[in-house]
Parts: sequence; structure tokens; C-alpha cells
Amino acid sequence: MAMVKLRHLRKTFLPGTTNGRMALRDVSLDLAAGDFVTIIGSNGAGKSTLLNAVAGVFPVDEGTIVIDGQDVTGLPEHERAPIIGRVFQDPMQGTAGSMSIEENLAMAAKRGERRRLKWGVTQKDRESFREYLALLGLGLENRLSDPVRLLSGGQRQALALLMATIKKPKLLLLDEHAAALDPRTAQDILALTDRLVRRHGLTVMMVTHNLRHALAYGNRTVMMHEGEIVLDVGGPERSDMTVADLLERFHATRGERLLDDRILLEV
Amino acid sequence: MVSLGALSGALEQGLVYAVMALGVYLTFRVLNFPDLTVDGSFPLGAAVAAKLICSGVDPVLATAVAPVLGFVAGATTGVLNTKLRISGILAGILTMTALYSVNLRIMGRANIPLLRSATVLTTLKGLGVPGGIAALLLFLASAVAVKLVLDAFLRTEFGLALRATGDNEVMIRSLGVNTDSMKIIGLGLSNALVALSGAMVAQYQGFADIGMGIGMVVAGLASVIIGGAIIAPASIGLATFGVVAGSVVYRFAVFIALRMGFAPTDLKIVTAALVVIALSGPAIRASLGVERRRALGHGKAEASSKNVLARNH
Repeated sequence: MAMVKLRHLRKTFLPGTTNGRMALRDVSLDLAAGDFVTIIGSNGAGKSTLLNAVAGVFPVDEGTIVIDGQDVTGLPEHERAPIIGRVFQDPMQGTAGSMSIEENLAMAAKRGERRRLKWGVTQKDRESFREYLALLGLGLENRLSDPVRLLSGGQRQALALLMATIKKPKLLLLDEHAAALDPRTAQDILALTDRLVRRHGLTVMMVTHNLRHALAYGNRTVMMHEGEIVLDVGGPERSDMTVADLLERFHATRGERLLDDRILLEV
Repeated sequence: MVSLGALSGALEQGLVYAVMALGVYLTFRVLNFPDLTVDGSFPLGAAVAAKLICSGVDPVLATAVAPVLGFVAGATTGVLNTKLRISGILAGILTMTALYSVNLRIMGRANIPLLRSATVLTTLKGLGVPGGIAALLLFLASAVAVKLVLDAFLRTEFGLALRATGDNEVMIRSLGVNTDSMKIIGLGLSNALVALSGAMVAQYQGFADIGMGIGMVVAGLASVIIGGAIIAPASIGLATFGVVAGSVVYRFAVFIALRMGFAPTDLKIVTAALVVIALSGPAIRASLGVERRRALGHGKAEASSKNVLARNH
């Protein structure tokens, strides 16, 4: 059974105005449990819109979103949180800077649960956080009470990844979560992503601008263009694929240039 | 000579207004919400308590009703902001303006004297507390109790979610928290404290007046700012302690200003100027810093060499 079923999703921003833009036109996509799909496409192709629609940041105009048998189409963002974990592009966005590492983790460990008048961080929490943070190898396990704003961008993003997965989500959404980091840190974050995904057996949708990363990580790659999915490859076909093949496949499908300079430069 | 009585008066005021300042801290610092409801919810607490006391209700009970109405006032601002999408500042101004009429309706007139009525202070004296220190003891106990309860509250699961709502709304929503509810409840709790403070001030000064809330939010903000300046808010406990201390220091400053010959009516502009100076500090320092670097002929070259060093380390 599919873990994620997206059916005929449509979304137009600012409808009826001169600035109106159809960001999603009839997007359908199925993810089996354990699928790790990388999503590529030029700026404005609808990648982030798709992720935001699945997360519930805004309602879709048409279509249905079903996750693990539950129709979440009409639910607001915070009611989808029990089943969805997210990491954003901006490391500042995934963590609360004025709060400590342990407080951030404690909030994440309660993702989608009712917040009660019980101590937010208990001694038992601290022990398990220490163990979990040690996975990163960044020494954060000794800095539990440090405010997160003291961490570097890479450390914050690593923490954000832990937070998104500390309570196993049915679906993990990664929106260019390594794009704002320097190349080496980005590599570390992606390696960590891979490790956490395997460890928990997660179902993942990852948007990336980097075609090499799109093929190196995950088991499926989807290409979007002008609000539509124009390519969906997996299995042996994808394993043999090079970045050049990926570009060629796109041109064959569309007969036009998809990729902007940014993508080409990052190849 | 400054009399001991006058000094202890400033201390009493600092402590009773500290409860209000802790409310202002909750919105301005924790929720990051500039809430102007305070100017209306402070006299609301005073009006309700005074009216109930005059109607023969026990002063302790009358005081306890004030925060309930204060909560409703704050929650109203929260609903205006989150559900009706009115900007935070304007939502507070609207509630504050509406409260002026509400407060007059409650009181029936612009001023209710309480000099001959039973108050929480006379209740304390009835329990055998010496009259001279009854106010000081009550207000010290109130400020400390509110501070400690607030500290504990902000460390609960709910409190963490409230703080995160002020710090990073996108994140905490992705973790399943309804940030609209958080803001409504946070504004409610803040104004409950403000109204409680108003109820105690009315009984302390011996009257409730329709105009007693004017400039209250600025006074609260001044206390919060002074507190942050004298005690580094390295933790929640230190931050709230700073607010209480800031409130006391502020009332002493007011006391000194009055001794220096300022008219009581001039104090609002003095307070406003104090807040302007405190808030503009970083901007002024930044522009001064730029000027100085330019004057010394350093600037970019120095900055980049520093970066190289930092990288080599």
C-alpha cells in the first residue's frame, strides 16, 4: 500500500489577478513506504509549492493528499504535524535560537502531541537527548543547555534534522535543506540525512537544486516543470543514470531548456 | 532629608507594579508581541475590584476577579490579531479603546474612592500583620509568587511552546502547535497579571480612576528594559528577576525625579524618553561604531584580516 498518495493537486496563487500563477497543475504522485524521492526542477517549477501543499502551509485548490491511509487534505498545518517531519532551507527556521538545545529537542519529541503543564525537559529526556546528539559527532551532547543561537548554521541544520526525526514521522519533507550551507557542510548534512533515513526506515520527499545529489541520494527522482511532474525515474534505470543523462531525458520530454544557470553551475 | 517612609513607599510601588511588568515581559519579550491592551486592562482590574469592594464583596475575592477579566481582555486582543488578522499593535489599541467605555460602565463614574473601604490591606491588618509593613509584605509576596509561578510555567511543555511561538512561529507550527491559540492564551495570561496589579494598586492608593492606565505599557516596558540592563537575562529565572528589580528601580527613579521637582504629569515624557534612549541604544552605537572605524581609516581591511585569522584558527 502506498504511504503517500497525492492525487490531481492544483494550486493557483493570486487567482484572477494579473500576478496569478498556477504553481501546481494536476500533480499526482505515489510514494511506497520507505521511498526516498528526490525532487528537482528549475526555479518556479513548483517543488517547494508541492512540499508546502503536502505539509499544509496552504490549502490546495483541488485534489487529495492521503498519508498512510489518512486523508489530510482539509487539515491545517499543525494538525498534520503528528505524521509529518520537516526541515527547511534556512537553518534559522528549523530551530528556536533563544531556546536551549535540550528545549528544542523536547519540543520536537512532542511533535503533534498536546502540550501539557508538565516539565518540558526531564532528567530522563536529557539522557536520551545526550545519546541521540552523540550520533552527530559534533559534541552537542555536552552543550544541552546552550542556546541554539550559539551554534553554526551546519550545527543548527544537523539539530533540525534530529528534531524532525526524533519522533519517527510517516513522511519527512526536506526543502533544499543543504542549499544554504557551504559545500562541505552540505555534504555532511546530506550524509547525516541518509544515515537517519536508513536508521528509521523513513519515507522522504527531498527537494534539491543539485542534480548530483538528486541521483546520489534516495531511490527515486522526480523532475518538475511549470507545476507538473515531467519525469519520474527509479530502479535500475536510475542507478545507471548520470547527470548528463538526466538533463538529456528532460530535453527529450519537453524539448526546451529547463535548467537555469544555478542548476548547471551546481552540477 | 528623604524619609524612610517615602523610600519604602517607592519599594512598595516597585513591587506592586512588578506584577504588571511581568505581564508586559510575557508579551513583549516572550511572545514578541507589542501589546497595548495593558493601558486598558490595568484600570479594568482596578475598576472591577473597586466596584466589587464598594458593593460589599470580600476584598480578597474582589481582587481575584480582576485577573479573570484581564484574561478576557487580553484574549480579545489575541482573537482580533489571529482570527481577524488585525495587526498586533492595532488590535491592542482597539481593545484598549473599547475598555475605556467598559471600565466607565463598570465603575459608573470616573473615580471610586476606597479610603474608607475594607481592602486586602485591611484584611491583612485584621490577621495581625503590623499596618506599617502590610503593603510591603503583600506586594513582595505577590511579586515573588508571580515570578516563581511564571518561571515554572515557562519551563513546562506548554511554556516551551509559548516561548517558541515568540521565537520561531514557522518551526513550532511544523511541530504541531496551534500558534493562534498560543498567542491568545499568552495575551490573556499577560493581561490577567496586569489586571491583578491594577486591582492591588487601586486598593493601595485608595481609589480606582479611569485614567490610571495611561502610559502603563510604557512604564512596564521601561521596567523590563531597565531589568534587562541591570541583570543579564541568561536564564528565564534571571530575566524575570530582572523585571521585578527593574520595576523597583524604575519607581525609585520616578521618586527621585519627583524630588528633583518634576511635576507628576511630566513623568510620562521622562519615562518615554527613558524607553527611547534604551531602545535606540543599539542603533546609535552601531552608527557611532561605523563612524569611528571610518575615522580611524580601518574598516574593511581590518575586518577581512580578522576573518582570515578566524579561519586559520
